[in-house]
Amino acid sequence: MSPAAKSLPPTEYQVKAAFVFNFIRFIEFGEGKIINNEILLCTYKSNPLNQGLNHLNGKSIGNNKIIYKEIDKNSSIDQCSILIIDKKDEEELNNILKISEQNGILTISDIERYGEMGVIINMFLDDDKIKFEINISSAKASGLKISSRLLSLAKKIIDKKK
Amino acid sequence: MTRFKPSKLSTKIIVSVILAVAFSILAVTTGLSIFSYSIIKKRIINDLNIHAEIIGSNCQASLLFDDKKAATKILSSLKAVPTIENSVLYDSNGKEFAFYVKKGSIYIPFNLLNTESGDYIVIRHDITTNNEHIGTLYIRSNLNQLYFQIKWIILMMFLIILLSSIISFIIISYFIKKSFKPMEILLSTMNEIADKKDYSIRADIISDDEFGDITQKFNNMVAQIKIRDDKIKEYQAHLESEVERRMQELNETNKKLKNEILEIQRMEEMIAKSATEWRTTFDSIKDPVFLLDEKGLIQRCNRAASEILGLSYNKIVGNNICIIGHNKLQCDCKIEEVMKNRSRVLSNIKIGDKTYSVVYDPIVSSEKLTGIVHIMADITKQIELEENIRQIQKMEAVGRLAGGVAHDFNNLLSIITLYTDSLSKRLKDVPHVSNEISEIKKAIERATNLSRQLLMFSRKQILNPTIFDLNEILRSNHKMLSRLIGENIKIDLELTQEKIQIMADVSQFENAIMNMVINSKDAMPQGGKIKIITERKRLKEGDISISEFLNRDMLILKIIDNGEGMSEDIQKKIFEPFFTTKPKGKGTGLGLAMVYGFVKQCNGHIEVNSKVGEGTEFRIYLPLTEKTEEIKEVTGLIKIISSENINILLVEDDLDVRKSIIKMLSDNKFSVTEADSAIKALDIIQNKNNKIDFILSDIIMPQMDGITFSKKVRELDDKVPILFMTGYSDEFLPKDDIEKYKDMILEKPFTESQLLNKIHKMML
Repeated sequence: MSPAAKSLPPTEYQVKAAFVFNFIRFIEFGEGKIINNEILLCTYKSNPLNQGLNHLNGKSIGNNKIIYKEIDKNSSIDQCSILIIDKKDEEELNNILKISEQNGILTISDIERYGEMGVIINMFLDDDKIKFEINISSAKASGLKISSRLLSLAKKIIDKKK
Repeated sequence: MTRFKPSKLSTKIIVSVILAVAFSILAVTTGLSIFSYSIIKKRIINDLNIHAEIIGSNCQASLLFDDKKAATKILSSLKAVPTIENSVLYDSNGKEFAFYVKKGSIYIPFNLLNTESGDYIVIRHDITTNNEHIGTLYIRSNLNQLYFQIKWIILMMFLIILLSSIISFIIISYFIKKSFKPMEILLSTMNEIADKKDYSIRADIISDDEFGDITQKFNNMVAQIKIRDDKIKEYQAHLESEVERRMQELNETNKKLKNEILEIQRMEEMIAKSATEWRTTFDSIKDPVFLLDEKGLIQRCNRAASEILGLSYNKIVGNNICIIGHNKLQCDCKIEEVMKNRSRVLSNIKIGDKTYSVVYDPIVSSEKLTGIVHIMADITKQIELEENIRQIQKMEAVGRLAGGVAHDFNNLLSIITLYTDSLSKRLKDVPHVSNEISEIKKAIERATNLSRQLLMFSRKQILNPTIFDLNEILRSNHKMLSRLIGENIKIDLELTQEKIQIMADVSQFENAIMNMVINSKDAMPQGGKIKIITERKRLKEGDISISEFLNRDMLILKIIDNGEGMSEDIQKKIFEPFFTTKPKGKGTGLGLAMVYGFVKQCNGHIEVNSKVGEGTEFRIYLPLTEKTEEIKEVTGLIKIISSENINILLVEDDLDVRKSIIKMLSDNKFSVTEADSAIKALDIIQNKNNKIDFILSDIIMPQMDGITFSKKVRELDDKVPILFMTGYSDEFLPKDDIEKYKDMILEKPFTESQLLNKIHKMML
């Protein structure tokens, strides 16, 4: 944490960006997803979270290095390790989620009900505090392993397969 | 020998081993405990670290996502570990993020906690991610677990020690018991050997270990001891026998020595006793005895010697006997004569009224004179006795002479009497002749009396002793005696109360008393008093001058007068016949001689004690008799027998006497056969042709006396009466049969009528 951040209370986007960074620590990606020790963090350009997320570029988690990448609506997401999803229509969302599932991409959102929809980690506000829920069935379907420690912190674990 | 105590040794071993085991276990377990302590502590710390790691790891997410609730929840999972007291999680800024406190424990902030405290273990765990410090976790744990475990270890240790000790004890006991068995056997064998002193006993070898070796060595040693012991015993036996032999020798020597000592002691005692006895004896000798040396000096003397000299023993010893003795006693000393002759010398000396016979006996040793024994024997009494004996002998001689004279005189008188009787018968009608014959008869009677008195003195008279009471006789004669002696002399009788029985011829006794009373009367011409005293007395020394009657109960008849008395010379001769102090013709001098003879014949004694001017005392001593006189009954009547046809055998050796008797018997119509000896008379009796009716025999005859003759006659004829004639007393009669012969005696001289009476009496 930078001294500036210390002095000023972090913004919602900063906190959410920190959450995203911390989520990566507890996720084990599928084989071949991380190439050249680079974790490709993909976010749609229109997403307000990007103001916080862009600070994550170049940060290391273990031997791996986060690469921040803003993508378009039509951009291929196959290469992404992590995909931050902003508000989308249902069809588009299902399509993105389908591709993400197929490619083992960690999907993260901060939109209400998105967790139910199939986003693996969905952040939300509760008593002015950022909480998150995890869709474990999506994660499994994507071939991702989520640390129990992270699971223990999740406000809600969604398991649609049950 | 100190007893070996295996139990103590085994106890020591057991205790030592157990202690060693226990100590080893203790050391090991102590080390182990310490080691365990650090191990356990390390493990606890390790565990805590693991817990911290897990909790820290688990809290990573909570810290990263600022989830205090989740963190608290995670921390609370520490309650599963009861030793953890509390835990605090700090964030990267050091701010308390979450904490856990065990129920019942207290919350202690870790910045305040002394992590070095021994009571707790505090673990600090830094929580990082991607090398970034995101928080710190503190966990405080108590040490209960540690202590609990350590306690368990210690308890287990003690249990192990206990168990080990017990097992050790059992194992070691078993081992020791087994191991020490040979030792015990050895020890008991030792004790047995010591008790019995028997070295043939051996210990059993039951093991092949060192004890077995020891036992074997011991057995070898005992065997050697036995050999040595046997040798010692052999030596000892030899020594003992030697000692015994020596002891025996010693004992024998000792015994001999003891006996010798005893003998010496006995000898010493004897010597001492002898010395005392000698001294006592020496002093008890009533005669003075002097022991002189060869020069006549007195070496010793007895008490009598001191008394006679009137000097003490010490003053006498060392002096010359002649100077201190003889000169002092004014008598001769014959010492020089003894020295010269070296033979006994005797001499009589007179000191005062005593006569001493001095004996000088030389002591000669190796032909040398070494001393002289000088004894002075008082012979005064002896001389007196000799004088008495001489007197008695003289009286005996006179008596015998008188008796002899009287015997012959009696024979002569017998002849004269018988012929005078014959003449008197024939010439009774011739006037002058009958008167002359009468005078002859008177003279014959006087001569007969004289002869009788002589016989009485010479104790040859014939006595007719009877038992009578003297007091009775004296009383009955008192008047007659008083008349006899006249009025100017009084006779007093002092008689004993009880009877005094004596055996004597009563008439002769009366005669003797009369003679003495007359003798007293003659000693008192001016009148006076005569006392006649009778006394019974057991005689003691001093009562009588002769010893014959001492200690016998005797009669003492005393006739005492207070007349003129007699000198000693007269007293000596008073009983001699024909001794008289009276003018010639006034007395015969036979009175007291007759008394003397009579008393002697009665087995008595007479003494006279008189002093001139004081009077005279006669004492007659006679034996008492307890017998009483038998009263003889006179039976039958006197029968005048006819002398015709009576043949008398006359045995008489004196022809003249024989002739006179034959004449007298023939005159009285007796037929007479004569024999001049007893042997001839026996021949006559043996001749059957001779009828002998009576035998008249003399007693004293040559060849065969009358008594022997009478015995021979009795062998031939037991009936013919025998009458003895004798001019003597009865001394020829056998003493045993004196009574038997008493009535068969006719004393010479006898008258015709006396003979005829006797013959008649005996023919009845």
